Amino acid sequence: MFLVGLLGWWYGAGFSNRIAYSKSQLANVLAMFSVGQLLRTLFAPFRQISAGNSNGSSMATFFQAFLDKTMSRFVGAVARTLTIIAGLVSLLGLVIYRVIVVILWVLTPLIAVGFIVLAIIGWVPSWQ
Amino acid sequence: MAVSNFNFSSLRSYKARLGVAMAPVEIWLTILAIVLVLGAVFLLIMGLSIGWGALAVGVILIMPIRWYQEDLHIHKPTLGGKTIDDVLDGDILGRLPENPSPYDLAISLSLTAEGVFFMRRFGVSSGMIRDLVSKDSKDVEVVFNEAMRLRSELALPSLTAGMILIALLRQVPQSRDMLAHLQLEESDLVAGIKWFARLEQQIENYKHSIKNPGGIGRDWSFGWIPNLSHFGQNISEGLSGLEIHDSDIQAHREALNLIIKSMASEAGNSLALVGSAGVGKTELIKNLANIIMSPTANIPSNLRYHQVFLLDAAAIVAQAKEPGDVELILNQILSEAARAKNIIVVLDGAQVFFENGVGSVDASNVLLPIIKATALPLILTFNDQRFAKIVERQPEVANVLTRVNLQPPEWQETLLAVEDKLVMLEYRYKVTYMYQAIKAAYDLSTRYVHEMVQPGRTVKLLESAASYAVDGFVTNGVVDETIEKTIGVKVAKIGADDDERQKLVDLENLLHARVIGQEYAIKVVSDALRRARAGVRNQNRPIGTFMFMGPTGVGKTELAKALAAVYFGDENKIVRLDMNEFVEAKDVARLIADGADNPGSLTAQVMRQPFSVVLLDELEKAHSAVLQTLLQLLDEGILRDANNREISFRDTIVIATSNAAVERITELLQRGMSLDTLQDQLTNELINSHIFAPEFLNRFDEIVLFGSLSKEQLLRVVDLILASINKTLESQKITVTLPTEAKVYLVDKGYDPGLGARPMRRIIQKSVENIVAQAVLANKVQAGGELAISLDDIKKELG
Repeated sequence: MFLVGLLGWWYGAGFSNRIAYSKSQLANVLAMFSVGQLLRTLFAPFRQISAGNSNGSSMATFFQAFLDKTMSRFVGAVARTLTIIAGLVSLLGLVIYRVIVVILWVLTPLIAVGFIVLAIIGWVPSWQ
Repeated sequence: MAVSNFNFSSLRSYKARLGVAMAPVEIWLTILAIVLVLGAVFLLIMGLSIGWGALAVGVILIMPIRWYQEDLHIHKPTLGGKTIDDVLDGDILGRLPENPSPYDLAISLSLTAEGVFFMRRFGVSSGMIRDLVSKDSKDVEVVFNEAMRLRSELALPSLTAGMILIALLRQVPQSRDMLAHLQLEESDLVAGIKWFARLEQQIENYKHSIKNPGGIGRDWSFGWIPNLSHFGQNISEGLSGLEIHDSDIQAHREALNLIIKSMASEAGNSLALVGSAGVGKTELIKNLANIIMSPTANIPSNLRYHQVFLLDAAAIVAQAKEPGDVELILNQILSEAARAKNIIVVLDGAQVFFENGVGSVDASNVLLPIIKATALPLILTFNDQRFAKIVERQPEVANVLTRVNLQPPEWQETLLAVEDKLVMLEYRYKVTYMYQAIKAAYDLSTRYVHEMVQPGRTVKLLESAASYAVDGFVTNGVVDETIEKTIGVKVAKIGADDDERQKLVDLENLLHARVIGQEYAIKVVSDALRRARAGVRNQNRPIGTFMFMGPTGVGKTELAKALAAVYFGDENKIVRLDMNEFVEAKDVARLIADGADNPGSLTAQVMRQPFSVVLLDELEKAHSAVLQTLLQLLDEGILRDANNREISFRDTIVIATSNAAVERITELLQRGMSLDTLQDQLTNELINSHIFAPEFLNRFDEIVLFGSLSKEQLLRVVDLILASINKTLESQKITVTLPTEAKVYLVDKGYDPGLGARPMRRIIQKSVENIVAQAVLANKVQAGGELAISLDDIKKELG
């Protein structure tokens, strides 16, 4: 009963847990880098530092505000682009890692058997 | 015989047993697996193929360890399960033999988390019932059926230790007494099951909560808010993992829905959150911040990830140095918040911005245009009384704000709110609160804490009680002690104090030590007090309500003072009102005035001193509107003050005195009627003569008649007065004695048929004290000496 129970769980709920956990980790990385949000607001002013109202001001003030805002948008676009790139790299790394984990999970019993076979045949890797 | 719906051999039963068996060895298996893997790597590096074997064993060990951690340890109930083994808590299931008995169930309870919870929070342990339940497996089916019924009523997925505990208790005839001894009822244990389930759910929610909702770029496109950050507190950032902001209070849920709906709409997105202190306004704001920050909450997208800033209105007013500073600061902060586009500003205690006075500045000229412009979501919290006054003065405030009222919850919802708060309190004060302590805190705070409403006052009392915890536990006894020490109210039940028990038994004698005669009155009052302290009285009324009637100077006031001294331990624990000062209808306002406006009002005095004798002198002279107001006091033991706060009179002894019908009493007594037979006749006469309405007189426990004092009794009054004079002279170590003929002379001189024995005290004090003063100055008496005053001395002194 032990073996049936263990293998039943390993390839049933245990496997589902790995998939669910992988999905949740990917979602967390996406949320952490807020890629969707950053893409939607790619050219928005950064922290709206110069978001003051320039209506009714002089021409010079208007141009100053315009310049500040353009600068703020540029800074924002750079910061967001870098963050998006960092997020995508992290995401890719995580996908590769989780795929390996899931494959190893499926193969664990076979890997154990493989190790026993290696022990029996006496093969050891050569380090030279 | 096996239980029909319990399958010992099912997979879940097997897994539960395996889980229980693995629990103590799981850590060792983990260490072994790590050692094997590391050892294997070492062996392989050393060129030894046995390393593969070690690695294989290590990998194989990892499998049951993961199984235990993710499945066996958790024991999830089978989805849609119908049988006992499908749904029974794994910790219990894994410990049951093939044919379990109620005794086996009781044993297994103490080994579960919920069993320990009941032991610590309720004082109910399986050890209490272990030896009382059957050891016959045939009897277990009834227990399981009861527990399954309870599970179905509570709509919980698992058959838990709490349900089994209640089912077992139902099989034990002595359980009612056992629970009564712990001041519990079965419904309290049911509340315990729900509490434990909520705690488990909250732990799960916390585990799965997203620690940085919205991600690192969430606020990059919103404005910079240096001033707002300086003056305000960002509640969205300050949400602590230990605090639970997930309200189960119906009124809060409704208010939250209304707030979210109103905030999301374009028109009129500013709100007035109105409620008394302690009702949970700040808590509601934290709930709002929590919901808005949740990526999964069902809220309009234009609100998601908005940050809630709490501005302390009083702090802003305090920071203003020059006139106009408040308006300037407010303008800066609110403009900044509006430009940022992701801010909800909460002005806590906003009433100070709509009033002029100490600690407040009327800034409505700044606030109202901002509110009308609807560019910034604003929530203004108000105290309900002050909001009503503001609206009366400035109706526009009510027009531009959507009003959301918060009403204080009843017991069930207060319990939920308190349970949530306890997580933080227990962490902060390193104590464990027992369920009985929560119940006691609710009852006592409802009665004695007036500056706030539920659930705040229960939480406040429990927080204070943490300082008096015994061995890390806050029990109902600790809560009693806290209220006794902080408010001076005696709440402990009779029994703990043998002196008090004896005092109550001897009450008549103790009262007679101060009041001469009036056996009937003293007996009636003593009986009422004994009923009160033995816990058999109606708790929702004053301890006793008496109407003392009789001639002046026969001991009515003296008995009230004696009661304060004997029952409340201090003669000064008396709240005395001359009702001839309440002769107009408008005087009702003075009777129930706020303590800040009139510290001498009845409600203010009782609020300060809830455990006292309330003496209403000459009640017949009060206006009928005043008497009408007092009806609730006599009937329910409460009176609402000018601020609509419920002031409890349930620990007072209410004594009204009346000189009405004095002539009639004297006449009937002279005809030879006894006091106890006179009562009904006199009550009818008082009603017929329209002095008191029948519904008013009927509210009193007793109409206590006082007869005139006989000559013998008056002589004993002289003795009492002389004793009090000797007590005053104690500091000079002088004792005064009087012969009987001098006492008789003083009675003749001092007794007035209209004023009773009242003038006697003045005459005795005047004559005796004068004689003593002269004797001391003439060196006729030394310290430690005795001064025998003769009849002639008295006659000479009184002329």
